[in-house]
Amino acid sequence: MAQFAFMDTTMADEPTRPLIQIDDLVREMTDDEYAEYLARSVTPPLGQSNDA
Amino acid sequence: MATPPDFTAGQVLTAAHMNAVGLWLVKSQTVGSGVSSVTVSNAFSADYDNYRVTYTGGTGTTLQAFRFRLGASTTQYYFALPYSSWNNTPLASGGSNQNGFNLAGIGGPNFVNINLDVFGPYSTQYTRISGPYVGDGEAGYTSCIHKVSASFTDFVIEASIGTITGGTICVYGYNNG
Repeated sequence: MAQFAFMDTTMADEPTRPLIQIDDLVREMTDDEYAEYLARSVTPPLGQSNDA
Repeated sequence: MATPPDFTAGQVLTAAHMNAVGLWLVKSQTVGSGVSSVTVSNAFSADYDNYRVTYTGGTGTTLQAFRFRLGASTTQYYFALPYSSWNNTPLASGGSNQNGFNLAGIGGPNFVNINLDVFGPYSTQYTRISGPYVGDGEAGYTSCIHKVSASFTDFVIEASIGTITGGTICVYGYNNG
């Protein structure tokens, strides 16, 4: 039970969606922006990369 | 006037001296924590025709490419990136009529790197963008043409996946003299 309580606390502290920045203002994405983020066409850096 | 830099301590800098300075810092912007994209407003203007844009000093949540967009334009980006993985085998990537310049730079858990020359973003001619693309696992030269006849003052840098934290985006203007 204590473990579940700890996990709930951790999850509540995390943002539910990424942030965007306009000049110096950082805010949470709107619904439309979040939908685009989820649908983002991911262009991999390059197939042969081992940067990670 | 001799070709700068030939300055001495205490020398008065004349208009002629200052007008001969080739590159001026237009603005710099610190990137926040855990952001997906960054809009840089009022970067381009009639003051300069061509610009240098750099982004260094930050980190990404994972290996990621950076998308570069002009203003809110999300069409007609054509780009090409010939590169090699630190050997003599030529490789290439690219795309036509994309929603952004999707290989404008690269980032990862230990770095971010964008180094682009942006030619004519404020004019209504097509904007042409190019610069070195340097990852840990490969390097090449990336180029883009944005086939939209419009003037732009802002640009957006966006991570292909995950988020970015920290570092500084700098915009420099090339002085026409």
